[in-house]
Amino acid sequence: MENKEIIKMESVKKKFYVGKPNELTILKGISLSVKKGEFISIVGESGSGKSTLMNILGALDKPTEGSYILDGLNMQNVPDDMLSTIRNKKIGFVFQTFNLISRSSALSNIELPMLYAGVNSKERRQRATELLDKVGLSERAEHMPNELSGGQKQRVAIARAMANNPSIILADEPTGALDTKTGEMVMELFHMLHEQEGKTIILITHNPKLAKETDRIITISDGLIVDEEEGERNGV
Amino acid sequence: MEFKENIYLALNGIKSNKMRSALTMLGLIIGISSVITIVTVGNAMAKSVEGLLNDLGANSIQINVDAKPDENGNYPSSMTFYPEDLMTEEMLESYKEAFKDKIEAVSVSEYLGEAKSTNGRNSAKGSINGINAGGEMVMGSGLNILAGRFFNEREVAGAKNVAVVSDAFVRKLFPRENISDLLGREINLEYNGEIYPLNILGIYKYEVTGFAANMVGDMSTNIFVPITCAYNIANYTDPGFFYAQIKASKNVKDVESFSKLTEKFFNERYYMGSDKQITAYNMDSMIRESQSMMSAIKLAIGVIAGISLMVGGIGVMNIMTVSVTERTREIGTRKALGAKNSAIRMQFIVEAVIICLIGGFLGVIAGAVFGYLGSMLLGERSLPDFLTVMVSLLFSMAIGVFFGYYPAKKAAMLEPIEALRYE
Repeated sequence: MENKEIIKMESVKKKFYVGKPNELTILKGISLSVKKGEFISIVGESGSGKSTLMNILGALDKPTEGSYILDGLNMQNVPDDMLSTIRNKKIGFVFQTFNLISRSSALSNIELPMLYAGVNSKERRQRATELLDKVGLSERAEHMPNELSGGQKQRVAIARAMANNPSIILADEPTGALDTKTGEMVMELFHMLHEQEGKTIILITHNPKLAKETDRIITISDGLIVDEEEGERNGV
Repeated sequence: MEFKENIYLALNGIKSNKMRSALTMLGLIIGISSVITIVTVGNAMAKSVEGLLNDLGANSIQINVDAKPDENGNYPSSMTFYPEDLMTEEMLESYKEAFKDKIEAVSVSEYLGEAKSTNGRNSAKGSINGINAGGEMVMGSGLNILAGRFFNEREVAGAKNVAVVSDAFVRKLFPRENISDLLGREINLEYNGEIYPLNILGIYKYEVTGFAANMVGDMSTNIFVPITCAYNIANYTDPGFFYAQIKASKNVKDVESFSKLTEKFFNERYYMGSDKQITAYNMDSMIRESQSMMSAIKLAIGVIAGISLMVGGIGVMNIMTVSVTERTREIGTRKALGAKNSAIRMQFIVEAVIICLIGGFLGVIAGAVFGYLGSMLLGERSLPDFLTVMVSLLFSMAIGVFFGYYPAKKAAMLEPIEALRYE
């Protein structure tokens, strides 16, 4: 169980404007694997292709060539209109700019993925309350996002990402919009989820210092993986 | 489940941006309220016409002496009526005899005009109206007698100086006395410079319907006297009739053709070489004519209201499209979290329908208010009927679905990656 591969990518290429004179290859052959319960980071400068890689990892896009197997499911076989269901069940997104729904309460935001999964309202509310408690914001249940600080918003976003118990949590520059201290707090939360709940977390960042906190660092540059090394925090 | 969430979300959205929501709904409110107002006022008009019909009496025919048109069908611009032009008593009697089974009553009247009566410092105005016996046909369905009675055939034959006056008249003339005490009282009518004494035989209730309901002030009510008495007052030596009203009996189903028969009957007996003729009018056909005219007007205005609803719908579509663009990021997030295209589309259609439903509801309320005020002017207070309200609300929802579809589809088609990148 511990060695189960939750992500396996082989020679993934991503091309845009395929067949046209201005055909562009962003990912030139990515192979990586992530085991269940790992906390890894993907590091790259802007233009390295890390966003494109993240989109494919997050089932927002499909590879042009190569294979991507997510939690035993071969993404090649998934029709395009099923991608949203895969995202809903298997991916938990955390964005740099939080992306909370502005006219809904913290609790309603956390409920959202469950709503799209067809969970009934009583169950949704219960689980959302638990998750909110887990990230330490129970007293803010009915607050609107504009009544929350940046750090609080991100914590709500993390709780939301966990709503449907996804296979992986995909965090794209989660501390990018936060000050150092708040950023550290958020990273602490990720560590807590990783260590206490055994969550598989993929952190996308351009900040090598942040990457060093994770188990494994994959460096991407110009559409290819150029380095893979271990982080400085291998479990506790 | 999700539907309820969408409704809640839509209401939230409307509440959070009240100004924009109000402007979105404005076209729809105007359109729906115009439709409701027109329908309500139309209903009032129909009721008031019905009231008129009751006043004049269904099944009644009016005939009067008229000028005859020349060979080209032109009527003279002015005409004078001489005594020989009037209908005679014999004509009426032979008419009554000829159509015995079709006639319930024939009433002739002689309208003399305004007269004034004084009692010390009090005065009242009245219009002297001489009629033959019976009075059942006065005001179409008869008068509401409060005290006393109407004059009978004997009193008409004897040209008795009696009068049946309105309660408004006596209240002005004898302000502090009871109506029942006034029977038999003598009043002096000043007409054309001469004074005529009459005894009050009966007092009727003065009721008004329709337009007259709103006119206040110095109303001159009818003073009914026997027609023979009226002739005396007016100094007519050889009286004839200018106007008569015929009440057809209930078994006459086609009043209009009876009306034509009547006209033919009288014109056959009219003296040869006369430049006058008898014209018969029948309220039914006139009312039907005005009703069809009203229907045409209602239709025309309905079309205009329909156009304004279309414009309102287009307004909804525009604002929804703007709203979609503004919420591109949010839509991207929802899709990333697993919303299917259909879920996004449903979200925005529900929002459009809710806005239009609220707009329609406000339009119904505004229309009911304006319609009520408008109907008040016609003297027939009306509110919109249930069916019209339901249809209007359903139509509002339909506009929401129709005009909300394009922006909703636009939202559903957004690519999540691009939407998430949107600033």
